[in-house]
Amino acid sequence: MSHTGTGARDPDDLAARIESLPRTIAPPPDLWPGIAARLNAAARIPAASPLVPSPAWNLRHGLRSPFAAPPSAWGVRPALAAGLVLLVAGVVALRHGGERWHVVQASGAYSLAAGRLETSAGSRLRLAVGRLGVVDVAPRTRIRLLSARPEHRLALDAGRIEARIAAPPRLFYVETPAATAVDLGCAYTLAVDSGGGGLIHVTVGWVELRRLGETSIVPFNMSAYTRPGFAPGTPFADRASDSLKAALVRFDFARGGSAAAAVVLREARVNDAITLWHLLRRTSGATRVAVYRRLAALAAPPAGAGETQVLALDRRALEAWWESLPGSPGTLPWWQRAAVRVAAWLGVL
Amino acid sequence: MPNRLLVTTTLAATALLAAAAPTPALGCPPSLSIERPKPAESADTSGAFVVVHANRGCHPGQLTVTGTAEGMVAGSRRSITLDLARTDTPGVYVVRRQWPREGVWVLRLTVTEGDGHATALVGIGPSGEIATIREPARHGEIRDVSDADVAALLRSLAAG
Amino acid sequence: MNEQVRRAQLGDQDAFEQLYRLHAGRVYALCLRLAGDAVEARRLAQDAFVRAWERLPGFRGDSAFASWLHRLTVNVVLADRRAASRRRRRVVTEGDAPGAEGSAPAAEGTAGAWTPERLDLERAIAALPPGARAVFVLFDIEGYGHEEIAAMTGIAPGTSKAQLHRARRLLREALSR
Repeated sequence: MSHTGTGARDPDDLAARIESLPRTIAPPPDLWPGIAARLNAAARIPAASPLVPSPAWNLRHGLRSPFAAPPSAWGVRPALAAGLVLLVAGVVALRHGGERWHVVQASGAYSLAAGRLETSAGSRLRLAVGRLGVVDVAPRTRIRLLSARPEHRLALDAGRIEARIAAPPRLFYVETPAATAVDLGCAYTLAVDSGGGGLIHVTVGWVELRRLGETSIVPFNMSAYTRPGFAPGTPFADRASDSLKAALVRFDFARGGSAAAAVVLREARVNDAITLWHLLRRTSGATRVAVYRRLAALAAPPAGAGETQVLALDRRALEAWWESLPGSPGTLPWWQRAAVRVAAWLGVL
Repeated sequence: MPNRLLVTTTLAATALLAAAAPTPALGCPPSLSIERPKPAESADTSGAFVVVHANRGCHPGQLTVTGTAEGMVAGSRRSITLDLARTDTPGVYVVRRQWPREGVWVLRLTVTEGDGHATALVGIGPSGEIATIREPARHGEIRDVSDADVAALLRSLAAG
Repeated sequence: MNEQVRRAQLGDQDAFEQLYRLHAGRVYALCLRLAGDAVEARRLAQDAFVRAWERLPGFRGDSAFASWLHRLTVNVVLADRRAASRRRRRVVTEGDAPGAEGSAPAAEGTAGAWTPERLDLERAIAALPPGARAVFVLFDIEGYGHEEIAAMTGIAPGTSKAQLHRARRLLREALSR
């Protein structure tokens, strides 16, 4: 090989010139806007799920108890005086012997084999969760009974259940395709659609949703969506505006980012404090600052939860603020917690 | 959905009774659940020996969790105050190994809520791995864990 | 796992933009040298970041994010080349020279200015036949081995070595003129 001119004369020279090449080259300034535009174009509310809210959202309608028949259809419901009598007499409405699952009441045809339970279009049943409480199973529901010891676990593959558990926390678990619901002593409705997406609504107490190392704590009078492949959705209050709920779905499941978060913040009221607390950890940078400031305006942070600490996601600071938010276990008066436990035990929830 | 008037009146009645009755009679103490961490579940719990879940009962007051590691190493008793690390979830703590691998150990973990409390014991055998977990009784009974209970568990672990 | 990556995995676009700011220079350089064309490089760099956004939930942190993104970018470019239904003319003109479109060559993130020597080399690389250029960029600039290049490009390791030899010879000839 002959070499002339001022170019690479020998292998060492070429190697040296290659070595001196920079490993980075500044991209065109419009590269990121083009990327962001493509990401936003792809962001859309997940389609084809009956559980995703429409503009004519009616959460209560969608989550009406499958047992819409009057309470008397399921046995005697005590009036106030009778409730006291029951308490004094120690009559137990919901206690069942043993630790296993068993069907205590049913209507219509259902199948139960090898731990798999399925109700037909016209059937419903009540399942005892050992001594812990009951699960009401709606029509067209498929569940698998996974274990009874050391905790009671079932899998909800599709359909709807309503659980009422009067027991210490973390003894009853429901696995869904998108998240695990951990009972913290409460009553809730959980539905799963054919795509594996879910919606939980808590009427009493709290439920923890866990998946992908992330946790959502859903208190009473709040709900949360779940979708396979995503962390559990951010909890939202029953009274939250439709705009807030829709923006939260975009944020959680459609990469809505700071634009969706801005709508949530704009719509948030005092009842939405728990929602914003969850968003602190799910946002970053300027968005997290905005979340902090909106939450602080709605529910003043206690001592130990200063802006610097919270923005740094200091756990002690976040826990202190959590304990002070309306709806968290820390703010429910102890006598209310006791009353709820007793009422659940009596089976009037 | 349950009849709201019925629920409200029943709750009010039971609340009155709860307020009048001494709280221990309600059988509603705080509780502890001990979980063996799943591998790589989250950065939060990485390196955890056990994950401790603390939940409120019905007692007024702050919720706190403390722990000690009680050990028997070469015939001598040792006690180490444990550092419980908070996680991203309120009420959930991580205990990482803070005791030597030699000997047998019992982690004594206590949750306190006002004047209510509950204790869990985690027995660690000579291999350094968890041999037994004893959580608080689950149906409202409050049973104090005594030093004698811990000593008995240590003897049991040492005997294999 | 890095906090930004974790947040981006959960859909935080702000966090993903921060990752873009950190890694765009490397990704663009790779696309530009593999494609040999600034217009194509812009499109491919966009494709790479969009693909990274889509694939991010599957990133488990068992390698560094930069390595994962780099490998993904290489795959995006090579797949695009394989899918091309027509020959792209590789005519390197002043306007096509890397860095000539839109931004100053010595912009932030670029180590060193566009010297005539460097420009000569970049143009010579861009003028290489596609197969030789890909192997040269991946081996001599990006540091992959022949086995890895073979796995990524679908050629045999021996072919990779031959292409590298060819690329170096062509570069020396071009730079000697």
